[in-house]
Amino acid sequence: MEPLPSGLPEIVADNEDLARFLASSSQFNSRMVKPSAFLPEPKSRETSVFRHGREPVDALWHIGDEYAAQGRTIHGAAILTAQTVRSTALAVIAGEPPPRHAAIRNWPWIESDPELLKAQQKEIAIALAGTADFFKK
Amino acid sequence: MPEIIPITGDMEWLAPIRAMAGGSNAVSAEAQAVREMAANAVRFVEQSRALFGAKAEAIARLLSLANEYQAEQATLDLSSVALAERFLHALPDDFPLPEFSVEPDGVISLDWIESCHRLFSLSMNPSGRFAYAWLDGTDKGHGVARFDGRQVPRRILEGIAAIFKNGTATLRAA
Amino acid sequence: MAEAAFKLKNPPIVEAMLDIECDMPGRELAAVKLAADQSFLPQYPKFEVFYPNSRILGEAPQSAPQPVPAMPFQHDSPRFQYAQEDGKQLIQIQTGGYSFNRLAPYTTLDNYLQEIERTWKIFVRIAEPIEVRAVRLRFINRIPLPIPAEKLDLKDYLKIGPRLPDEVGLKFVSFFDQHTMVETDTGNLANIILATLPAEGNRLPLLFDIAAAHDARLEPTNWRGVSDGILSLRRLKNLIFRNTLTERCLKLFQ
Repeated sequence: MEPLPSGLPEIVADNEDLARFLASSSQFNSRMVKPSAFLPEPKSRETSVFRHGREPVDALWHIGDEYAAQGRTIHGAAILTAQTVRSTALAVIAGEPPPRHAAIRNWPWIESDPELLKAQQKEIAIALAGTADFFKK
Repeated sequence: MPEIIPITGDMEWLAPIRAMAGGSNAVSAEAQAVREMAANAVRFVEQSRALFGAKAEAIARLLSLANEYQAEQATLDLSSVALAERFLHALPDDFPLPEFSVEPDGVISLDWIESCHRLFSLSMNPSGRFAYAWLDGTDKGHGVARFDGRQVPRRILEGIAAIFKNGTATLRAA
Repeated sequence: MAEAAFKLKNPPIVEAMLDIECDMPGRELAAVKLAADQSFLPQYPKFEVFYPNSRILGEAPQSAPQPVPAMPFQHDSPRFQYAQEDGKQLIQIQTGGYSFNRLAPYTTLDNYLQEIERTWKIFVRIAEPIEVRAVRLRFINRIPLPIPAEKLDLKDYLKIGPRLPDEVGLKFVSFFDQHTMVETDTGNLANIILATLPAEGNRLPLLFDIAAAHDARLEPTNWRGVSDGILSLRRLKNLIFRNTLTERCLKLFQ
């Protein structure tokens, strides 16, 4: 299979680190990232992550500032493995451009009861937040 | 003097005035006058730090977060912010206060975080039907509960209390 | 005085409002708009999405002496408001339930019950509420008390009301008096507000706001249960009204 433009393989391996960039200081506290940081965007129905771990740090923040910030300030990143995400029955699918971008998909989606939908998503987001490592910029 | 039936909660006597101040479906100019006077009465009481200190600070943090999102033109549901403020008013006075964040759809999330293994998260959905989820060690779950603008649903109070049950906070459910 | 006989020729009601609070299925309000428009617009052609704390109808009376600072984020969830052409009667629907508003001139609740029933049943059909949780009735009265040349004695008009610790040395400038009570036989709750507005010429407007609530767990299709709740609240409201105002005050409305 052809590698992606970033040079990464198309399939995201279980042991790959994923970085979820945090654009508000309210998305974390001194102990952990908050669940809201992992909830999916309502339009795309996915959570945007980048295939990068803690190191090298400069490269991590470059990706965040360049591709994830979208006009806001990056305050930090939550790092977790693709396997952790998949253990909650979600999917991790590579999606470039931008470079190293991937999407967490297959969130529960109930059109008829948006509040129950949010509750189900929150339970999953709590599980992700509980296992993610947080790094402040 | 008429008999008084005691109510629980130090600030619950303020609830009907808050209800008048917080809005109703009345549309007349006189209703607006009542609303403004009730809001003034509530505000006057809440200026007392002895009566209202910790909640006032929490509301200030909430509004600061909302201002941050507005300044950055990020997605924020103002109805959700108003609901969060009303919810804070309705919380029993010695209940732990939450942290705040904003979800991708602009809805305010209230999070009670004891540790990464024990937390309770509540979304201030503008419909008044609040989505919640919790993690308590290996126990976890989710649900929906309706907030009528005045009283916090018992299952939400119990869910929050369970997170802190081994903590040092003194809790008294409404 | 029997309920049926308690009618005033010129009731001081400026607004009467019925709220039926419901538990609704998880759905956006917009999903019922088309059906609501088709059902309500013919008789209530003036429509708008209304944020309750951001707009008033008509001229706002001067209220508290100090200006109220603008409060950000002080608006509730949106509601659809359908008003008659003259703006005096409204149907409002939102995710929390249904409201019927009648502005002055107001005659008697009996004259509006049929229309309330009709529009409530429409709401049940299009919004499909799961359960009725509470019925609330609110009457806002505006009583222009005549200010005599010597002094205005509230006891001439109010059987109950605010009092001062020293009725010789202290005089009221204004008041906002609020009581909440429970009717022990029925469990109905009531909230009374007595408040003054600034004087207008030789009249002192007194707002007498009575709100009563009846907690219920009813099938939305049970109109009999809903109307029983409404009538129970109306009885309580009338009791409060008659026992708060003196005969001299009631004569102002005959």
